[in-house]
Amino acid sequence: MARRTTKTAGQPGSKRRPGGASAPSPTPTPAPPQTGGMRPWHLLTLGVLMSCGAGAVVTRGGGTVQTVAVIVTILTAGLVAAGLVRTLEPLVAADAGEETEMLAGRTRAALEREKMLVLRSIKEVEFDRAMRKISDADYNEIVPRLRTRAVGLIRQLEGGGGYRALIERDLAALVAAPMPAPTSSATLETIEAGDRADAAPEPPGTCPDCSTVNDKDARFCKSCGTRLAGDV
Amino acid sequence: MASLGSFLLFATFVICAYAIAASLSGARRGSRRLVESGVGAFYLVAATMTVASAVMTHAFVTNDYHIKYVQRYSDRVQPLFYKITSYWGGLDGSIMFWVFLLALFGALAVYVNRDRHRELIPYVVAIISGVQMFFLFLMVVHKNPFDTYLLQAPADGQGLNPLLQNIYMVVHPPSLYIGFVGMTIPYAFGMAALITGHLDDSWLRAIRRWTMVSWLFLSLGLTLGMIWAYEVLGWGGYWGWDPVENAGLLPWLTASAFLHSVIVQERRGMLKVWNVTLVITTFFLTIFGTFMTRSGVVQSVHAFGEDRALAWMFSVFMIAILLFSFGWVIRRLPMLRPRYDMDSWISREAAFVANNWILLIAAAIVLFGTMFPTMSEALTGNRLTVGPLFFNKWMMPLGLVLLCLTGIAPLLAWRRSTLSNLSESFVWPVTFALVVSTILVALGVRVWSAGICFGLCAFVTATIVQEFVRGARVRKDATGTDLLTATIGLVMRERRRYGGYIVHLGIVLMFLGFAGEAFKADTQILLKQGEQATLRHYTVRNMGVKVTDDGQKQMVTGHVAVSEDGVSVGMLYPARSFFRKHEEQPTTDVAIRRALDEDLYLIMPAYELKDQSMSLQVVVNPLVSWVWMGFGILVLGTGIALLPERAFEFALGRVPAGAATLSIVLLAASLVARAG
Repeated sequence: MARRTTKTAGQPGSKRRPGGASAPSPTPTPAPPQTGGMRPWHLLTLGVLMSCGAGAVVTRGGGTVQTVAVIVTILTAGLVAAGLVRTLEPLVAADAGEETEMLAGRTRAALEREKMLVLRSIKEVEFDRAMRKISDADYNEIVPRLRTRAVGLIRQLEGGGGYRALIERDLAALVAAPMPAPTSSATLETIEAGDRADAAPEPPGTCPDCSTVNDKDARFCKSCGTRLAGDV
Repeated sequence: MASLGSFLLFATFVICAYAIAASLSGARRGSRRLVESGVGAFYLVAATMTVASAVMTHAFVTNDYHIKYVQRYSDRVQPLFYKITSYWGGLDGSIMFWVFLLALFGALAVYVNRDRHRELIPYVVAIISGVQMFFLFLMVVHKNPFDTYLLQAPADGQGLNPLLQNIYMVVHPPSLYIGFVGMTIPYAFGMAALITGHLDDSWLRAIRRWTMVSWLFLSLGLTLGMIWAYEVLGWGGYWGWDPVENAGLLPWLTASAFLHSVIVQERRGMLKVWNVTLVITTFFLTIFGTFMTRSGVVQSVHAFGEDRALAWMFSVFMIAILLFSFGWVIRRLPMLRPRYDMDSWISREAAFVANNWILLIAAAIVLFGTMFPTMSEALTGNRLTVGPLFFNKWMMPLGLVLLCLTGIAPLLAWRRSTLSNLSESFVWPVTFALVVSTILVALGVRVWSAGICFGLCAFVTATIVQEFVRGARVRKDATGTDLLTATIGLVMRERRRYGGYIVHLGIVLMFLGFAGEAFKADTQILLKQGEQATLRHYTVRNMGVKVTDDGQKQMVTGHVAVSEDGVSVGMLYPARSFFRKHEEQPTTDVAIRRALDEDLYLIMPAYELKDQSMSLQVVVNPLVSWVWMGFGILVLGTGIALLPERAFEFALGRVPAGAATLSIVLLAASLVARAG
C-alpha cells in the first residue's frame, strides 16, 4: 500500500516505450524522487514478522491460545500502524505525487485494460458471426468501430499521449528530419528485387510477432496489438 | 478488552468520517494528497475492524463473560470451533461482522481498481465509508457488541442455540453476508460513475466480476440454508418461503437480472438506466433484507427479534439511499440515453429484457408476500399470514417461463433473428424436448407442472449441448485442432459465455430436483419394537431406541432397519438431541438415505423408552439430490466465468497444442484404471 510518485510519458525515468518520436510531453512534471532501498512498509513488515517470532518464542510455554493471541495482537497492531502511515504520509511527505504513468489524462493501466477489453470484444463479435448470431451488416458496423477504438488506444499507449501530442510529435519529426539523398533508379530496382526474393510468401495481414492472420486492411494485430507491415 | 473493542468501534466511525471528507474534498479540489490520505484512511478502517474482530474472537475463546454478547451466545462446554463462530451468532455481532467484511471487500476493491478507475475511486471510498458509518453508528449508540455487565458477570454463558451448532450454520451466515456486503461494491461504483459523469461501459466492467462473486456467495448461502433446513430442521423439505429465506432471495433475483442485462449494454449500448436501477435496487434489497430480519417487522424462526429503534434507524437510512441514488439517476438521465433501440422482439436483446422482467416480477411477488402480514397488521390490525401455497402458486409458472427463456435466448441472434436462423437453431432442441416429453407421458407422468418442467429441462440441455458442439466446430475449423482440444480452447477463450452455459446447466439440474417435489410421498406411523411399515417400495422396522451422552448433549437415537423391494439396505438412525441449558429446545437429527433418483428421509418426532416404541415420519423425496448437484455445477460454471485473462494466456504460452487434450485423456484413463 506504499504511495507512488507521478511520472508523465516523455520524462526521465518514465515507462515510455522506445520507437516513438522524441517530442516534449505536453504536461511538464517535476523530477522523480529517488527510489530503491528499503521503503517504510518493508521495514514495518520486517519489524512485525520479527516481533511475531519473538512473541512466539517468549510464550512457547504458555499454551497455544496464548501464543496465537500474542501473534494475532502483533499482526493486527502492525496492520493498524501500516494504515496510519498510509493515511498520514500523503499529508506530510514533501513529495505527494505517485509513480503512476499518466497518458492523456488516464493511467496506463486504465488504457491497457480498455485495450484488452476492446480486443476481446472484437474476438467475441467475430465468434458470434461464425456462430451466425450476428448478421454481416451488423458485424461490418460494429467491428470497424471497435477497431478504430483499439487503434486509438494502441497509439496512445505506444506514443505516450493523446492525438494532439501524436500530431505535434509527427510534425516535429518531419520538420527536423533531413531530406533523403536521391537514389538512382537502377539501385532502387535492385533493392526492390532483392526484397521480393527475400520475402517469405505469407498471406497479407499476417502478424510478424504472433503469426495471427488479420484482415487485409488491418493496421494493428487483433491478437497482440503489434503494428502490421502495411501500416504507415 | 471490552473497552478496547468499544474504543475501536468509535475510532473506526471517526476514521470513516475522515475518509469521506478527505476523498470528497480531494476529488473536488483535484488534490492527490487528500485523495491518497482518504484512501489510506479507508485501508485503516479495514485494519481497525480486523483488530475489533480479533478482540471479540479472543473474548469468546477465553470465556470472557463480562461481555454480555459473549455470555449470551457461548458457554464453557461449547466446542472451540462454535465459540469462534458465535461471533456472528447474534444481532450485535452480526452487524459488526457485516462492517468487518465490508471493510475488507471495500479495501480490496479500491486497491485493485486504484489505477484502472482513478476518477471513480474517491467517490467509491466515500460511499462505502458512508455505509460503514451507518452500521457503526448502530453499534456505537444502540447495539454495542462490547457492552459489559455493570455488576458481577455470570460464571458461565447461556450457550449458542443448538440449531446453530451445525457446520451449515457456520458457513451459511458468512456466505450470505459476503453476498450482501459484496453488492455494496457495484452500488458504490455505479454511484461514482453517476456522480462523476463517467458513464461509459468501464464502470460496468469494473463491477461485473464483483457482482458475480457476490452472486455466487449469495447462491452458496441460500443453498446452504436449504441444506440446513433439509437436514436439521426436519420437516422433510428445504424451502419454506420463510421471510428470512426470502430476504436472501430478493437481491439474488435482481443480481441475476443485472448479470444478464449488463451483457446487452456492453454489446448494444442499451438498458443503461435499467442497469443503474438494478444495481441500486440490489443494494437496497440487501439493506432491506437486513432490516427485515433485525427489526421485528416480520416473524420468522430465523429472525433476530424485535427492535423498534433499530427499525426506525434502518428506515431513515433506506429512505436516504433511495433519495440519493435516484436523485443522481434523474440528474444524469440525458447521459444515459441508449445507443440503439430494440429492432425486433425476436432477438437476443428482447429475450434478455423478458428474462429481466420475469426476475423482477418474481422479486416483486416475493417482496409482496413477505411484507403482506406486516402491512395487513398495520392497516387492519390483523396479521394475515401468507404461506407456501401463495408463493408456489405464483412462482412456479414464473420459474417455468424463466427456464424456457434460458433455452431460447442463446439460440436467438443479436438485433434480429431471421427465419433460417430460427429453424436452424431450434430444430434439434425442440425435437429432443418433444421426444423426452412423449417418453415421459408414455411412462405415466401425469403431473402437468412436473411434465412441463422435465420437457423444458430437456430443451435447455439440448440448447446448451448444441452451443458447445457448434462452437467447438467453429474453433476446430479456425485452429485445425481435434474436437476435444477445440472444445477446451473454446471454453477457455469464451469463458464468460460458456461458463454461463454451465451455470445454466446447473440451474436445469436444480429445476429437475424442484420438479421431484410433485412426486413426494410421506406418512407418519407409531411403531413398537419389532414392528414395521411400508411406504412405496421401502419397508422400515423399529429395532429399538437407545440413549447416549457426550457431555454437551444427550441423544435419543432410534435404530431403524430399512429394506427396499424386500432387500435389506442397512440401518438408519433418526435421533433427538437435548443440549445442556437448552433442554426445552431439542433438535431433530434426521436420517437420510440418499440416491440419485430419490431420498428416504426419516424423522423421529416422539419416542417411549419404556416399551422402545417410536413415532416415525417417513418421507420419500424424489430427485432432491439433483438440487445439490445442480448447485455444484453452478459453482463450477461461475468459477470458469471468473477465471482471469492471465491464467489462460500463461497456459497457452507454455503448453503446446493438443497437450490439454492428451493430459485430460491420460488423467481420465488413470482414474478409470484406479477405480477398476
